[in-house]
Amino acid sequence: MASNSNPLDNTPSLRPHTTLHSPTPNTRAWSSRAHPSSAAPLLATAASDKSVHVWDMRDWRLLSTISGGHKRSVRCVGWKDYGRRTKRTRTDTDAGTVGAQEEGQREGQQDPVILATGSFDANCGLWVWNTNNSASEPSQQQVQTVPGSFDEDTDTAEQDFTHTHTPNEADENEEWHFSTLLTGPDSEIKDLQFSPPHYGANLLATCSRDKSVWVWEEVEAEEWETVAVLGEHTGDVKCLGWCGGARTTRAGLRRRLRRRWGEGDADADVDAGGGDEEEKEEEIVLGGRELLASGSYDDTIRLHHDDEAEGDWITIAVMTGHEGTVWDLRFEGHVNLASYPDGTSEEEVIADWEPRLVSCSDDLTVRVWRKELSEKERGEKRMRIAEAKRGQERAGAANGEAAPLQTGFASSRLPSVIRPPTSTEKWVEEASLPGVHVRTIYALDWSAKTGLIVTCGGDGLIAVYRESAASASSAAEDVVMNGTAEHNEQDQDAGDIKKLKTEWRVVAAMEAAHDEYEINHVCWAPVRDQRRQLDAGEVVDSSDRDDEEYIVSTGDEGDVKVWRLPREVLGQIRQDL
Amino acid sequence: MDNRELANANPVVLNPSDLPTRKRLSASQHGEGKSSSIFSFPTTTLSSDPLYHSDVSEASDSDVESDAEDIDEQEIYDLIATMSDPEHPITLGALAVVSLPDISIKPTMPHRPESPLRTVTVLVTPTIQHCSLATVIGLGVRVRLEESLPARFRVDVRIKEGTHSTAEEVNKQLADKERVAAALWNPTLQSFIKKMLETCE
Repeated sequence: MASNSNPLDNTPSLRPHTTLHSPTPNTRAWSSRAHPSSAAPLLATAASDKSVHVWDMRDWRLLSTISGGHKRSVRCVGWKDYGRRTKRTRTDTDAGTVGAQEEGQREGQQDPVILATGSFDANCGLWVWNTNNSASEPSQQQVQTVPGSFDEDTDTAEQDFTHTHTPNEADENEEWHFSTLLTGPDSEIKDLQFSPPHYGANLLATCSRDKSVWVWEEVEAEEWETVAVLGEHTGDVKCLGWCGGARTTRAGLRRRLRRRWGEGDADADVDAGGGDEEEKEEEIVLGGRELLASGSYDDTIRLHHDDEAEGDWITIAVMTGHEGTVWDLRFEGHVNLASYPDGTSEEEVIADWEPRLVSCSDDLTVRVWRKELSEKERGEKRMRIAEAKRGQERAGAANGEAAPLQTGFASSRLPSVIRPPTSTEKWVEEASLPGVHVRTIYALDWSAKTGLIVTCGGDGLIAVYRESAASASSAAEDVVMNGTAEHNEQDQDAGDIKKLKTEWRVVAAMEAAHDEYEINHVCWAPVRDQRRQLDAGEVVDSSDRDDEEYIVSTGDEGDVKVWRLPREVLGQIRQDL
Repeated sequence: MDNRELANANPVVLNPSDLPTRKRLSASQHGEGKSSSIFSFPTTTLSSDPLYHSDVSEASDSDVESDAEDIDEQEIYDLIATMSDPEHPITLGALAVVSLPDISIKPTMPHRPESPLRTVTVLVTPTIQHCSLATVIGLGVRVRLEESLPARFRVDVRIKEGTHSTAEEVNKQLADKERVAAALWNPTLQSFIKKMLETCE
C-alpha cells in the first residue's frame, strides 16, 4: 500500500443522512449504539450531561432522555441482544447449528428492551423499555427523570451533583423503567457489552479506570451477580468485546462462494435479496465462543474466558504491539471469502473460518490480529477440512457426518471431558490498516454484515476500510495461512486451504465529519427508516435497505451524525454479500 | 492535602517585568531568565509572523476563518502564564513553568492546508524534578486552553523533556482525553484548578 501519498485523495466521501442534535448543545457526547433488533428501532447516545438520549431510528426523533440516574458523565451504552429467537428444530441437533425460526422476528416483540449505561460515577445501570408506552404511539418526546438518583456511598466526600434536579413521582407511564444498579468497580466505567445471544449465559462485561474487567451474569430475570473480576491489566481498561462469531447459513455461504467464482446463476437469488430458501435455513454460528477481549491504557489487549478446568475466568492471551493506549477493539463477525481460493466449498469454509480481532490506538494504528494455531489445533483443523473435502464429494454432505466438523458455538457446550485442554493462545498481528489518522483513533467497528471496518478519531476523520483480494502482483505470493504464522511447503496436504493474500484499502472517508470537533465514537447501525425515500430524488427499495447499514458517529459538540456509504462502495460490497 | 509539605518551598521567581507580553515584544526574546538554552526551540518569532497584526490580516482576508488566525503563541502564553501555581500564589509565567518558546501552534493536518485545525503544544517545566503537582499543573493548563480556545484547536500539554522524573507517565495521562474529562468530575481536582484560575483575568 502506498503510504507516501495521502490515501484519502480520490477516496469517495460518506453521504450525510441526518444529524441528531443534542438537546443540550455543546455538551460532549461519548458514544451511541443501535438496538440490534428491528422490533426496537432505537439508538441510544451516552452524554456528558449525565443522561442518555434515545432516538427513534424510524424517523430520527428524540424519543426520550434518561436522566437523574447517573451522577457524572454517561460514558457508554449497550443493548441486550436476544438475536433471532432460536429453537431446536431437530432432535439430532448438529453441534454448532442453531435452528433459527421465523418466529424469531415475531416473538422478538416480546423480548424486553434492555439498555445498560456505564458512567464516570463508577456505576452501571440497567433500564427496561416500557413497550406499552413507546414507539407504537410516536407522540411527543418525554424527558424522564428517575426519582432519586442511584445511591452513592462510594464517594461521599464528593459533591453531589444530582441534588439540583427535582425528583418526580414515579410515573406509571414512564418510558424507561430503572431495573438494576451494578456497583463494585472503584472508578469510571469506560465500556460495557452484553454477551452475544447464543452464549450459554446472559453475561455483561464492564471495564473501568481501576484496571479491572467485571463479568456479571443474570442468574434470574433482573438479578445480576458478579462472576469474575479480572485485574491483570496495569492501566485503565478502555474497551471490551465479546467474541460472537459470524452468524450465517450454509446456503448463504454457498451462494456467495458461487458468486465469487462466477459459477452458476448466482445473480438470480442475490437480486431477490438472498432468497426465501436462505431465510428458512438454519442459522449457523461460526467461530463464536465465550471469549472476552479487553484493551487498555497499558497498551495491551487481553483475552479472557471461563475456564472449566480452573473453574474461573482466566486470561488466555495477551497481545502486545500497540505503542499507545488501546482505545477500541472488535471481533470479526463476517466471513470474508476474499482469502479463499477458487473451488473452496462452504463446508471447508465452515471448518476453517475463525474470527480475527481489530484494535485501534493512540499510536495511530489500526491492527488486525489472528489466533495462531498450535500444532495440535492445526492438525485437528486439517482433519476437519480434509473431511469437509471428502464430505463434499458425497451426496447429502449436509447432514450426518458433516456435523462434527462444526467449529460453531455449540461445540463449547460439549462436556468438558471432550473439550480440548486449556492452553494459552497465541495471537499475532496479521495486518495493519492504512494509516490515515493523524490524531488518536478513539473508536472503530467491524461490520458483521459487510466486513467493512470504520474508524474515527480526534482529527475529525471517519475512515472506512475494506479487505479484498490482493492485487495481481502481490497475489502471486500466495501464502498458506490456516491460522499459522508462516507458510510451510510440507504442510500443504489435503487439509490445507491455500489462502490468498488480501489487503485492506480505505474505500470511503469523511474529513471534518463533525466540523472542527473531535469524534469520540463510530459504529454501524441497521437501516430502520420508515420513509422509503432516504434522500432527495433517491427512492430506495426494500432490498437496498436490507443490505445497507448506516455509520453513526458521535462528536464532542454533542451531535450524532448518520452517514451512508458512497454508492460505489455499496456496489462493491453487494457483489460479495 | 492541607498538611502536605510544599513540593518546592523556594522556587525561582522571575521578575514580572521580564515576562513576555504583547506590549513589549522585545521582552519575549530575552525574558526567560534561567532558561536561555531553550531558545534552540524554533519558536515562531512574533515580528516575522505575518498574521501578528491581527487588524491588518482581518482586513486583507475575506475568509471567515481569518479571525481564528489571530491566535498566536503569545496569546496562548497570556492565557496560561497568568494562572497560578497550586501551591504558591505565584503565576506559572513568573515561575517559568510555562514560557513562550515552549509554546507552538502547528496545522493539525499538514497534508490538508485548507483544514482549520491547529495543534497547540505547550511544554510545561515543573519547578523541581519530582514535583508531585506536575500532573495537576498540566491538567490545569490543558483545561484552561480547551475552555478558552475555539474547538478547532487541539491541545497537547506535555512535560518538557528532562525536567521531570516521571514525565512519560504524566504525559500519557495529560494526553488521555477520557482521563482528563473524568478528572474534571473530581471535586478535589476541581478545587485545585479553580484555585489556579483565580489569578486569571
